[in-house]
Amino acid sequence: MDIIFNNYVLQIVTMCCINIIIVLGLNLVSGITGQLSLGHSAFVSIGAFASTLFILKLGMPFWLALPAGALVSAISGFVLGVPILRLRGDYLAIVTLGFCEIIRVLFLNLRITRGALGISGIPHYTTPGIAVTLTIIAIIMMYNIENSRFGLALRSIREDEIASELMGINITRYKIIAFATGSLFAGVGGALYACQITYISPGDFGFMRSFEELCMLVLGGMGSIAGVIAGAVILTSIPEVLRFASEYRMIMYGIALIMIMVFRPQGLFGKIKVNM
Amino acid sequence: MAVLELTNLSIHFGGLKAVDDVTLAVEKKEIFSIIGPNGAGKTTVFNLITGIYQPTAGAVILDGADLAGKKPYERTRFGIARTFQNIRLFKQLTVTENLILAMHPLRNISLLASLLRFPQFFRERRDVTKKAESYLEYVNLLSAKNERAENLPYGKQRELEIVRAIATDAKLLLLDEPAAGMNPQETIQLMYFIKKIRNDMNKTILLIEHDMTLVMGISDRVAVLDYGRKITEGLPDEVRNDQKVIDAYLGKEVTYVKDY
Ligand SMILES: Nc1ncnc2c1ncn2[C@@H]1O[C@H](COP(=O)(O)OP(=O)(O)OP(=O)(O)O)[C@@H](O)[C@H]1O
Ligand SMILES: [Mg+2]
Repeated sequence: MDIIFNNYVLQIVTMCCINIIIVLGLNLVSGITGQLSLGHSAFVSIGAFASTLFILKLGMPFWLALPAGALVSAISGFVLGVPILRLRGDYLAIVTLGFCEIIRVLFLNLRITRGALGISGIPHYTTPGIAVTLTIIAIIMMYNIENSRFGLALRSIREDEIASELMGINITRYKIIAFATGSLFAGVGGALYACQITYISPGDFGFMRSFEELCMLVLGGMGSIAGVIAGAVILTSIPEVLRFASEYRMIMYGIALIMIMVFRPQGLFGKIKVNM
Repeated sequence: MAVLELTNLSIHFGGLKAVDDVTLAVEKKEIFSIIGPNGAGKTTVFNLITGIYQPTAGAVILDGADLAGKKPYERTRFGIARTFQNIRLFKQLTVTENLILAMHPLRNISLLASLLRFPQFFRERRDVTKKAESYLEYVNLLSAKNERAENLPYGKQRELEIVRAIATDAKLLLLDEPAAGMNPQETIQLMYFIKKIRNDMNKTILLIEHDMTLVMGISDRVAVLDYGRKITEGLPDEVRNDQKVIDAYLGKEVTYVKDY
């Protein structure tokens, strides 16, 4: 009993860590830079499928497949970012949402990803130790990015794009780098996820997944690393603890979001407003 | 040689000629004012100079170089900085951060060094903070350095925006209605402040202003816009007594112009 219980707790801890890494990436794009993305899970799925294929088809070791998968995700973020980051607000949200669906349908129809069947039998490489270690590294990196010259420029873009550009900041370029970096974090999370669950299918990464990630961010507080951690941990573990209620997970998300919007719009730990 | 030249500058929004064939030259260390009734096209001229809008015709020339096709962020690096009619500070960032952002292109620190916190990261951060604080001292804002910009009183926000423009190291400052919302006493202080930065720092200043005390008090030359066209240009006294100007300001503002 004890062993089962511990295992179960460790699984939840691992999933919390994976979601923290993913939502840190979303926070960089939406919370720090102020660009609303509804397609973050597309980059999680790219990281998951790419690293899985690297492991299964190319026989890559995990320690190489994880950064390689994340890199594929970052490059996808860069390639998508170039045309779309000129768009603002709702337009950007709609295009990222569309991209998320395109990637899902693409993986659904590719032979190599085995369509709706998905890929099973992925080696279980993600240990709680690896997940926790990578999460700590991700948090430190994100903190350092936010407090760098680059991170300050990103925050100025969130505050006022025109004023930011008139400080001599090439805002399009910075947005694209932020988007690619956010995708890199999503890709790391995706690779860890694939090697934790050992089975992935395109259906795991649709729009609803993006929405869940955004809920974690909004609940915890946009632009706040502590908020990301809190949001990811709360919304990952509550459905696990209240297993019987898992059918109602989306309803819970909805209620949590409404409560936050009404009582604490900046999120549990947030200190800023983000207008998008 | 003129620091800034506008040659036959025009921009049309559909049928509206917001700026229509404007030519003017601003000399080094000059305080040059643009005045005119509401909607005359003054702010639009600033948007053309800073590259936010592209002209329909004509050119913006800085130190002899045509700026056509240059992006706003490139123009900042060439030495143009501005303030806005509706203050545009980075509201949720601190006063110091606002100034450090102005120095963005001047800072020399790699992302890698910041990520891994190399010693030069700390050194550069200390240096740039010190420099920001020296600007704040210049405008008596040092005590508010860790405040969020949005928490400053209105007049202080205007000053911070001006000093942020200065901190870009620009040689040409464009100030869009800096006295808007200030009381007469604050306006007089602002007048001395603008003169001071011109003299202390060798800046060339292009000023948009409705407050005639300020315009007549500090301008070397004044140009008047009306319906996008430059109707006259000259010394403050010449412009004040120009019949075309008085006609342009018809009604409520005509007395205003005469009074000062
Ligand atoms: N992007 C735009 N699209 C359409 N019309 C515009 C645009 N920008 C400015 N205009 C119009 O151009 C004219 C000049 O506007 P501008 O803001 O330059 O006036 P202004 O002289 O600064 O006036 P004020 O003293 O009220 O600030 C106005 O009629 C304005 O509505
Ligand atoms: Mg104006």
